[in-house]
Amino acid sequence: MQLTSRRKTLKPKFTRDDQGNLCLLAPALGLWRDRPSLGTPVMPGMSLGCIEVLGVLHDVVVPEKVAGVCSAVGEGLDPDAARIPLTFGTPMLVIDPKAGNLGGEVQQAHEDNQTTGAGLCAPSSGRFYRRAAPHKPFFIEVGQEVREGQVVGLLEIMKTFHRITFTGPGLPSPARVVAIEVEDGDDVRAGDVLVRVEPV
Amino acid sequence: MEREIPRSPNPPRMPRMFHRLLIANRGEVAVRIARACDALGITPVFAASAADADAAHLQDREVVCLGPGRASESYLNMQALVQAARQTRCTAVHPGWGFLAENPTFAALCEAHGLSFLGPPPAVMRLMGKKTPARQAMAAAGLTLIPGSDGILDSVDDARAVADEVGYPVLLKAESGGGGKGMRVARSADEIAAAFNDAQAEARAAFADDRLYLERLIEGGRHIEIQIMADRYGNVVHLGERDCSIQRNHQKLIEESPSPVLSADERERTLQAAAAAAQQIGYVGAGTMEFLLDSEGVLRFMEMNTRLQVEHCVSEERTGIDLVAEQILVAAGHRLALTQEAITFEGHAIECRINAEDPSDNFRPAPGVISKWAAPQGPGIRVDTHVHSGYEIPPHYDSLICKVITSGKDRAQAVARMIDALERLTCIGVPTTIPMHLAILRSPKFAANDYDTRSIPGWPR
Repeated sequence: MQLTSRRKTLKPKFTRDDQGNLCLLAPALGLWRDRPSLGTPVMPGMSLGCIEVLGVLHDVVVPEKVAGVCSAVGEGLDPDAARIPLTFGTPMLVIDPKAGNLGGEVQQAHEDNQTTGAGLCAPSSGRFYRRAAPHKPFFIEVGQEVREGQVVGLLEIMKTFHRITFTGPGLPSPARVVAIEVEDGDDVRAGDVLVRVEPV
Repeated sequence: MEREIPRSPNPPRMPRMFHRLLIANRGEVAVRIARACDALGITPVFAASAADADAAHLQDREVVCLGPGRASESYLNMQALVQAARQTRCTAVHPGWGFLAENPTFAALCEAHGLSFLGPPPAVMRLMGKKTPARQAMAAAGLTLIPGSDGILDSVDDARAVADEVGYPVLLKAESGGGGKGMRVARSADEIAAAFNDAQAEARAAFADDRLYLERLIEGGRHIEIQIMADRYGNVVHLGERDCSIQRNHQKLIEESPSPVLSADERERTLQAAAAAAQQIGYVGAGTMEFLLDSEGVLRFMEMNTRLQVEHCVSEERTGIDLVAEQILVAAGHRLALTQEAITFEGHAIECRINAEDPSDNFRPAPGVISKWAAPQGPGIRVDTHVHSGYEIPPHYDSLICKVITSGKDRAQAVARMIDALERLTCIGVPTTIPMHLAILRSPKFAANDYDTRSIPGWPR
């Protein structure tokens, strides 16, 4: 019971190579066991074996938007090993989405998500928070009206917190929030658009 | 006939040595530990987060990527670190400072998986991590304490009785406290009840432990600490003291050794007592005891840091001892090669911590890319850093980018070399705290030692 309660379900991130193959990246450091054999068709939610970290087995499942056939294990990994050592972010499995006629066409991720409107950008890289504390309400919501100087979020830079206020050249005031581009607790880079607005 | 016993052709058995060591930290301290590993013929394996894994100082090194950039998923992830050490066939783990360096659970997890943790035994770490047991152990070993309660306070009346005895103002502190939380000042008997209740409520909310103790509040004073080195066989030496009184928000900015204000008698007495205290609690490895020098010139024990410290270089420059190499040797079971008599203290050493912060904009942290970097060189100048031209400072961690340490035959020469070194240090792309350091070093108050932990001499300008 105790062992299972500590198990986590890990969903690997993926990249796309030149041939259109999907490359799953190791979601954690550990020993990968019970991997699917090559040629196995995979669908979102299916098991890819587990990653053993200090004797605890964490399940690895196929992330959403990934379907196809396992075509190879990641470069540099030993395909014959019973437990394959992985480090975080290394390619673990190559999936060919066109093989197997699964019909599970891979959807484009967020790329075509085009929102228009003026954007408030991050002044620095850091971690963006939409609220002051986990039990507090969000500073702003989509559809809400914001004015110049209003706090829209917090940015954690090098262990210190900074208020992000709604100010900047080209921003209308008052304005209506059209979209909030980053989630609470996401890492952002300087210049990333945080909030999109339109004039009221 | 007497048989001749053949002599063994083998030399006496030497203690073992690690072949591979995992560096469970990042940045400047990771580079420092790797240097000691190189000197001892050990292969260092860098445990790095995804934000650090591609840095140039890790090129041509063994790197194992722990997890994403944020510390809670990489440098603070105990399971991942121990798994990384096992996967890369390391037999020792160096935690550096910060992150998990003073975490007894991590030390115990390392030991449980057959790894040598470079620090004191978990039990000693746990003892020194608790406030009143640490105070009692140090008092028993002969160190002078800040006057206060003998243990946990039972009630407001108990607090008032102790406060009347030690004298006002007093500070009520949480037993499990840290980071300035669960602390309240009472300046008179009338304020005790309110301070006690406030501190108790804050401690309960922050640490789920509302036990309090009480100390007389010493306002100002100088922050002085003693470097200790101990092996597993009860041999303990001290490497002199460091004066770290120049601080901002409890963050040390400048450290120097020897302390320019400490009397010779008090120095000698406390150095001896500190080494004896470390021996008595069974301390192993490098550690630092922190003291407050009060207005009567008495050093009073505050706390012990059971790890290597950022400012260890100051003691290294004065004694010529490689503290990190000693730490590794001691952890591998070697005896201390040094005796107290063999340690000599030469001249004066001073260290400035250079942070990527903008001193003209209320010390705003400034992550970003360092487009051009050139470190000064010359006699008596040492620069410990992990940055280089083109380095991108990630926003996830603290802002220390570099330490400049200078030494000279006396304080004036060490300071002059520091000013020269800081003027020649080139860092383009991000603001640094160098202008503040120069203002401090050039100020008459710094030269005249007219400052304590509350004020920064020469700053703000």
